[in-house]
Amino acid sequence: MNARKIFITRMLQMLIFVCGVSCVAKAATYSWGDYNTNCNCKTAIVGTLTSADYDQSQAAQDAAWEDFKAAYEGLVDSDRLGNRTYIYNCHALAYTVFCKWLNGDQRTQFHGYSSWCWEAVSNGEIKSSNYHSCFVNNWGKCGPQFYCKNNQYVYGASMPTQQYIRH
Amino acid sequence: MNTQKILLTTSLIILPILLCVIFAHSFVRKEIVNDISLNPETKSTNLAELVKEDSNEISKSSAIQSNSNQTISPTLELDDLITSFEEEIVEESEEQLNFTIELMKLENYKKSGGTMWASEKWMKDLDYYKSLKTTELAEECFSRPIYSFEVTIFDKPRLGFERLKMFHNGFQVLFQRNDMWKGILHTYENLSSKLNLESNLSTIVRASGSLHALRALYGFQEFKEQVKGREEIFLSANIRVLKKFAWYLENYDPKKLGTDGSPGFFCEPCSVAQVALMLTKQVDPQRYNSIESEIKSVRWPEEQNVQDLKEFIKLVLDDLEGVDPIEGSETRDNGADNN
Repeated sequence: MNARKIFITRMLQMLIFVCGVSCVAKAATYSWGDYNTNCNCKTAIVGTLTSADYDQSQAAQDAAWEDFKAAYEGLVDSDRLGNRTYIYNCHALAYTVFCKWLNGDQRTQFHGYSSWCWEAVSNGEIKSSNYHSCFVNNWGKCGPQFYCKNNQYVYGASMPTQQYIRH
Repeated sequence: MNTQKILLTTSLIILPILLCVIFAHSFVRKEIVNDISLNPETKSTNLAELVKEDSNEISKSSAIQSNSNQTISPTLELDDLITSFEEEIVEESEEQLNFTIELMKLENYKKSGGTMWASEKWMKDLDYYKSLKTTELAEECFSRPIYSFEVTIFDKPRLGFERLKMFHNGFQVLFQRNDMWKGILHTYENLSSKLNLESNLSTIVRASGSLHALRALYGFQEFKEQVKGREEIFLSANIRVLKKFAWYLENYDPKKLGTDGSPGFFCEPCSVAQVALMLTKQVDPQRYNSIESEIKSVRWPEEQNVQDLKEFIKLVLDDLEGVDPIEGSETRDNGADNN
């Protein structure tokens, strides 16, 4: 009888131990912070296949930018025009880098979207999520293509080409 | 014995608590997954599917990246171009609503005296544009780079087309002409004639940019309707432009351009090639099927290389050799005679 009780106790102890380890592992994978913000943001490996870009030489970009400024008078360099989503190629043409959202600052418009979202952040990581709140107060874009936050990559500076690591 | 009893009792208490925690954990996760599927856009999607999609991208990405940095596809937009030409694009009601709202804003802006592109300084009356022949009208419309900007800066070029119709008297007339297609054919010839050795960099950038942006027209309903039945003529025009790009790449002087080597364009001939391929699919589907995989498999490193571009254009032109029925009946424009 004693042996049986000891056996059951040991089994329960083992079960508790296994459950404990499992919970710790789970917590490491999904931080509580993610649940608090309802935001399962992650750095993802993404398809890096991209379309060909405009001429990236300084001179060609300058020529395009001069035309663009002439067409849209009053633009300043920090403005954005249009809602174009760029395929993952952050070389981008000068005038598309300095663009302006037609409806003003649309950061909050990421609320209400739940399609897969992407954001190329300045350190070169690609954030992806279908939790739109990941992108609140950040530039990002929901949809199948990237919006490149490429102010840092004007005039042909390279986007990182490393393999992105997915958590 | 007492110790064992305590252990047993403790275990019996802790176990249900742990089970509750695990259950709650799964429940929270399930709630989050449900939260995604509440949105109509992703109603049929669940997290597992999204992860699966992502995994597909991973394998695609890995396949590409295993071969150094082969990341650029000069035909990436080809399938979309074919779809937009062959099929009528039906937008989701929400998308349509947003578009209508955008149009209403633009109309209000116009009613309140708003203009675009500082047009009050240069745009002529509607009657003036109406008085022009279609080829002259097109020449006037494309004399400024406005078209290429407007169809480039939005995800949907349709909005750009509407803005052109609303705020540019010339485009308003051109887009209503029954022979708009003649104007666009003329535009191909007119713009490509500027790809010559006397042109400065600004002219090259502007002309090639507009040629690149003509691709958007093949998804524009008013134009599509006119191209249907005239695919061969437009295929021929695009092949001629592609030959002109090839000629220019062989002959330009980078020192004169002041670009440190680049020709002033890169993706632009790729867009023209895509239109040529799309039209080949309409004119000669068998030919298209036989060349499709070879052309689509072309990959470039991220850093632009003019030699890659030359080889791609050559590949497309070689693959399209003889597909242009008009070619034989006309004097071939290899570009040199425009200079």
